[in-house]
Amino acid sequence: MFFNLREWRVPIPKRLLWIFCLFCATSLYAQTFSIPQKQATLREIFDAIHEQTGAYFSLSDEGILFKQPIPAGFKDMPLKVFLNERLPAYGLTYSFDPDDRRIILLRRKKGGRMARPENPGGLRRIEGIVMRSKPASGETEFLAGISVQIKGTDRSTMTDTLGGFFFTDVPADATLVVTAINMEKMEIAVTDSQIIIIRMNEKVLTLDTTVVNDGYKKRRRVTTTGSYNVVSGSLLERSTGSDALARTENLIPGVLDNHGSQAADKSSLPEGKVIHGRGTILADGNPLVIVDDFPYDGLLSSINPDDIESITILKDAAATAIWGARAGNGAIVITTKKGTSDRPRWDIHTSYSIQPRPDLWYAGSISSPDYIELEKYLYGKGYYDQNFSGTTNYAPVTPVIALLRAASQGLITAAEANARIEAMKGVDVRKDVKKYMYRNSLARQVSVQVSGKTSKLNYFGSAGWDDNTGNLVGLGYKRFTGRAQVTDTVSKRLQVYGGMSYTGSWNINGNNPGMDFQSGHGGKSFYPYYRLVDNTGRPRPFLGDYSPDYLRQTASIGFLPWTDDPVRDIREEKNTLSIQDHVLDLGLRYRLSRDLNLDLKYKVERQTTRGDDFHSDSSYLARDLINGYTQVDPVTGLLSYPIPPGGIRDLQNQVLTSQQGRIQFSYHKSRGDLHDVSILGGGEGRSMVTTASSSRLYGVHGKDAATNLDDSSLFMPYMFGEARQIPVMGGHSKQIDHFLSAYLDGTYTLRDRYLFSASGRVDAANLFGAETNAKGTPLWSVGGAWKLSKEEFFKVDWLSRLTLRASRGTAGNISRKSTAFTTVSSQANGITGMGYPTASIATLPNDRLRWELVRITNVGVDFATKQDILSGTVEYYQKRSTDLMAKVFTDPTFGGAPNPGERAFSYKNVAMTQGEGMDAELISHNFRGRLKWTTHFIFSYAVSRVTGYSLPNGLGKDYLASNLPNPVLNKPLYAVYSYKWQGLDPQTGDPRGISPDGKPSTAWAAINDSTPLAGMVYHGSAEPTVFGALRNEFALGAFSLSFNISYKFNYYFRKPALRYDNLLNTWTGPDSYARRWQKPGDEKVTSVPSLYYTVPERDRFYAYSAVNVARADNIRLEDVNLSYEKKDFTWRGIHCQDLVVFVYCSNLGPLWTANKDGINPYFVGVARDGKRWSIGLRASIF
Amino acid sequence: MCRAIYTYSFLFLFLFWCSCNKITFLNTKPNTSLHVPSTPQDCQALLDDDWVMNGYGNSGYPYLPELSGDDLYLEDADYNKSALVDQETYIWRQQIDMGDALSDWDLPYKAVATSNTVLAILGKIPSSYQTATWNGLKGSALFYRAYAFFELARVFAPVYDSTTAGTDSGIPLPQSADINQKASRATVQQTYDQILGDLRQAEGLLPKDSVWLPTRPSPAAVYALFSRVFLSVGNYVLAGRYADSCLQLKHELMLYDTVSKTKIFPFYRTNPEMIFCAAYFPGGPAAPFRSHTDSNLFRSYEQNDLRKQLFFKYGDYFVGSYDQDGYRFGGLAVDEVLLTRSECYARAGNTAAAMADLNHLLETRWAAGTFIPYTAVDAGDALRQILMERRKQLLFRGTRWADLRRLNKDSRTAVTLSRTINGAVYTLSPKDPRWTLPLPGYILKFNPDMPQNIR
Repeated sequence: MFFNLREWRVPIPKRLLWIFCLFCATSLYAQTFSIPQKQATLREIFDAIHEQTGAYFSLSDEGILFKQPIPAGFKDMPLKVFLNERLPAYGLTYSFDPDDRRIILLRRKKGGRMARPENPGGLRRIEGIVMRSKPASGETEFLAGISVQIKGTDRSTMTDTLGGFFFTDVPADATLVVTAINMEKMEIAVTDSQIIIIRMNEKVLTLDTTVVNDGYKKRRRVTTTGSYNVVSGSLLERSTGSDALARTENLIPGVLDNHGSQAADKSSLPEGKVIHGRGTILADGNPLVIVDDFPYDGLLSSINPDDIESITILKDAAATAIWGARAGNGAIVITTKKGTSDRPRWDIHTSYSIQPRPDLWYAGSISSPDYIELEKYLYGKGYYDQNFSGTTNYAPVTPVIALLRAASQGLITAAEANARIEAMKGVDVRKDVKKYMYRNSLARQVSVQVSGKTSKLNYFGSAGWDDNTGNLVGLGYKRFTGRAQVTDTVSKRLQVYGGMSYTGSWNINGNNPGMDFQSGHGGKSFYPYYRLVDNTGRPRPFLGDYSPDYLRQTASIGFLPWTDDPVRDIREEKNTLSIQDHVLDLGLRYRLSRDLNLDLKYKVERQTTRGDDFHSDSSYLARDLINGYTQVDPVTGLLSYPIPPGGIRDLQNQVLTSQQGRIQFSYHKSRGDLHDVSILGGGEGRSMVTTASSSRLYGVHGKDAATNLDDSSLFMPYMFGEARQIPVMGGHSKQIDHFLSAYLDGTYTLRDRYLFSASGRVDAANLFGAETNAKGTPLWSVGGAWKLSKEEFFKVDWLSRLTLRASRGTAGNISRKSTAFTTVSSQANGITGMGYPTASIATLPNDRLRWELVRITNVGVDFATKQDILSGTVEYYQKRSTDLMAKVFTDPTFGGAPNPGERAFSYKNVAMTQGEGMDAELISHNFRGRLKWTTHFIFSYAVSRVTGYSLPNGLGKDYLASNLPNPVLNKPLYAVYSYKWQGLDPQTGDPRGISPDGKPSTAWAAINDSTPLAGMVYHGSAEPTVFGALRNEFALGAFSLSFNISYKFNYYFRKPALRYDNLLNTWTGPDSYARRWQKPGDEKVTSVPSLYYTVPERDRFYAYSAVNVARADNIRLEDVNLSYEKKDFTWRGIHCQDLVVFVYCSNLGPLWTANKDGINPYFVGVARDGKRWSIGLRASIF
Repeated sequence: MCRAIYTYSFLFLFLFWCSCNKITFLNTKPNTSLHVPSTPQDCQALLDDDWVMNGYGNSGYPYLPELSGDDLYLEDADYNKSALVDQETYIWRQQIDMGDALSDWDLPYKAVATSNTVLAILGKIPSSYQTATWNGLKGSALFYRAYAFFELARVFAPVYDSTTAGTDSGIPLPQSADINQKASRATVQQTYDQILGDLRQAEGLLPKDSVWLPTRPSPAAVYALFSRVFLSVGNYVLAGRYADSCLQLKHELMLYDTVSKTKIFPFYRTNPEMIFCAAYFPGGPAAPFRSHTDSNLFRSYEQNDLRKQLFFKYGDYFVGSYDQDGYRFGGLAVDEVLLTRSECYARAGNTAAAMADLNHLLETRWAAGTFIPYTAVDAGDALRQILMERRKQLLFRGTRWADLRRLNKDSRTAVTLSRTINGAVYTLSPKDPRWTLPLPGYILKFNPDMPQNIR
């Protein structure tokens, strides 16, 4: 463990032949050791030293000395004496680093002697070594590629792979200047020590030191003109969770994370990240994601967050233009880890997270007594009579209605019915749902990484395992990730690398919708007094589709049992989604000359997604389908089954294969501080093929499935319903994307204070029209930066750094809404069933189709006060998007009409939006002593509005869905509109809108259908326009604590509203029923309309009226992380460089919300997720 | 240095290879479930799209003429719950609000666009591959286009009058499916020239011996449509001649006695009289069981006339569509062609031949052994009887409105229509300009220079 021999050994023809390192504490240095044997190899001696003193070391050579026995026989030999007196005898010497009290052990060339300055004033040869202590582990690392310059001259060199360097003919009074990315610049006076040890210090994390990777090149943030943000791997480690990008939430200014799928009416915004405001209407608004230099085509959940070195966010044109037509929404560049440590290093990460059941009571649904009283009242009014007449005879009713009906038919006495109804008032379905359908979720993550590097080889390997069980019973997620990367320096000129990764994930769930349960046909939800199990714990049926009478009748003639038992059904379905992702990376870098490099890169990815939804023969879905088609012979009474009894299996298969290749030249020339030129250019091609197919098998018993289904005939269901065909689900699709691009990017720096950059890229794709491909219009950017603080005249003492930046340029965005070709969709047969394949025109051709164009202007200031106590950056940007894809109504005289009553349309590059915003990031090191306190503050302001769109605004009712783009001139794309609200009618409790002549009106249908957009209330954006976070980090000794508080301001949401039609048809509704208007005077204290149940328009008007819109502004405590770190210790012979144990808690809920109804805007009308607790451990061992 | 030369030459070759492949690479079709059509098979699939080409989707060929005509009447309650466009059409309002989409206009033009797309694809296929299949496809596309243009012309263009046809506004006649073009109205003369020209080409291209499918065009269908078009423009000579050509190819009649009387819709699509099936939109009151049959017409069927049982159910609701599943048949069938030939004989003064055709048809409509052949004293008497039987046989076929339009040009056969709805009486006299429906308002918005029909 401690004495590792390098497997890959490369002789380095340099001044220092071999460098061995011995790390030990000063206490060790004074310790003694004994070796009783007379003879021992040096290796055995080092072994013994380790055992007895704890010092350990690794060697890069199994030289002859280690094999030949040498004289030993030490007794209580002090380590210091051994080092000073014995080592020279073996041709070895060492050096001592007083700062760190560590020892560097050197082996001299055979017969060589350390050159001593014979003439102190004269010229001599110097040698040195550059190293650093890694901040996290304290582990020492030799730094390769560090620039060392003799001050005042143009003589400079670079350190070799082991950190070594030399100069000849150096004056004795020379000073060395050492500079490196991320390190504080050092000036060292040449001493007469044998070897100059230069220990560099990591710069305190400021914007100045960050390295950004735009997918084409890594560079220091300060050498760029663009807008970049970087999230380091260690910051990602602060939180837990399987999804890497989710962990960056609230860490980056200018990036908005929308939370989707939470609101009950699914009216939440599309999920994903929005960088610098939305610049598109219908195209995908998500940023381009790049993993290891190439756009990533697979699912991002395939990437293990523990494998990530850093994530760079590209925001402005100078940063994104190099990605051309696909980077209009910004880009996110993920860089995976590489080997860094000199010795093989093992990293182990594990965490365990638990999240209790969601809060089902939070959503506030109607109570059992309220619902039962409502049903009794309506039964008395005859509301349910329709359910007991004609063909609706078999429509399901709730038990209360069934009892009332039985009582009025005289089947039971009124008293008995009443007693049983009263008993139900004590039931709360949520208790059962919570107990039987939900559970505490668990997430277990473990990953192991091994990495290291030699002069020749850099390697990294990792394996990770995630095992999560969801809050819903039956829901599970498992993921295995494996990754291996090797970079081999074949020669001075040639470097090759290869990488492979595999991810397998398995998503398994039963049929468990939890509180969102809806019956198959009737859309009924759990009524408040439904019990999921009976007194003996057996699942109880939920009769939401058919009445008990109907089920009795069908059972009596031999139909399959036809009840839906939600609890049992959880286990009767097994839906598996498995995703296998394979990636292979190959590349080589060839140094054509000192300044010019050639890179060839190739990446191939194959992702296979397989869905297997098995509904067993006992599942409700299978039984319901089989029964629904069962035919009863009118004469014999015999049953026949068009759908064969058995299970039903839905299969889907998707295979994505992408290949990407790149050829790139990069040129870099630096003339000291005067000029620095960096140019890269190249071309790349990309092909992505996605094939998908799906099928459904009926009558599945084991592996056999029925084949001969009659899916063309119409079958009449038993008793009632409409004739229908057997649904045969199946399909096949294939999508091919081809891209060819060429790009050029250059940066010129003058006197290290004036930066100019320019880039351009031409894209052609098979998605664009021929006209677009032929034009080859480049997307471009130009940028500049001025490091003001470097100027002679800059005399502001307290400000150590001040840089002004500006950039301008274009990027594109691709929409799949339209194609350049006439496309048709094919069917197997026509309506008339003549047995021939048919095809209908899906899109009419658009030869002028092109990418959407986003023009970005960005100005920014970077600053830091003395010693970086306060540093930060402030940016302002404008984003103008043109050629946006939008729906355009076309003349149906040329075809294109969809269905009757629908207008012909197509999508064209016609719309425009304009946005602007501001980002700020401030980092303040409040305390730097024993107690460290750092504050990170991020602020974002982002607005965008539609500036050009040719469709008429139409009616207000078309703009009520705030989760869909609502393009209206000069309004945000996602906006909340509502009907004007005039309060409740004091006499009747009716909700009142406003009539065209300005009077309160209850003509709901007219208001709903004909209020023009101009007559609606415009509240504002549905996306926050001001948002950010405040993160404080404290460290005291081994303990550190951090917490992040986020804020989102100036946006609106629609509160859940009571709709009587839903309340009666779906058997449940919000608890605001209890606050409804009941008598004159109530209108002063409530806005919930009176009970009036036959007018859906009334409900709709109320639900979309201004009274139900509220501000969504909120401040949330996002998470808290408390960790304990122990460095550099040995436990049972295992040397642990670093051990971190942490407790992390997230989803802590809002500290403040603008709305006064207690609604957390992340959970509107749905159950609220619980707090998530994690404990975890991270260890680095050698 | 040597190595650098190798490297550069390799790169050069690589780039050269890339540029050679660029064109193919970029012309790859992006999505194949949304397939880009290019082959004869694709053309066949597009033409076989009965959803569009035969009107079987959830829209179909024009139904507004059916609402305007005198086959049906609406009760106040049915009228009141009808859509505005149906109400205004029913009472022949001067202006009809057609909303922002009208299947009567949009669907036939969708079929035109498909035909044009097919013709464009066929045009790109090299002539060496232009075989019988290619001919058949081109003939079919032309037939479908002619059928759709004619369906539009008899609704939205004024009835053909040889003296004014050169100046009367007809319908737009798009020749390609390019959505960026502007539409303009051709003259009535150009419209009919286009229809007849397409049909003449189709006549030469459609194979005589291919397997007949009711949804696909055939030579018989071309002749039947020719005869329909010539009848509508009052060219009785050619109408009769083409009817005769059609009947030589297809002349079988159903014996109504053998048709099952228990089914709700007694006929089916592949019945022996079918020549070319097409459905008009069963929208609003045109849907089954929404409108009543004109009372006089309903009463005119005699006791042994089987049409009384087969055509009507639940009172006077019409169920006698030659299609099935409740689709409203508006296509071409032998009975119509036979009646056309009979009428043309009568108009030519050939009373005997006219009555022979009529009796030949009616014999099959009556219960076996009960039919006594009709007689006519002269050609005029024959014509009167033939027109009456034409009404009784071809009701709810979407043809009555066109018949009325041409018959109104002759004062002897002209009809004044009258309706009573919600107590108000509406009439439409033979010379009224409202016999031509207005163009949809939204079409004029797309094409502001396009003239509206004067009503």
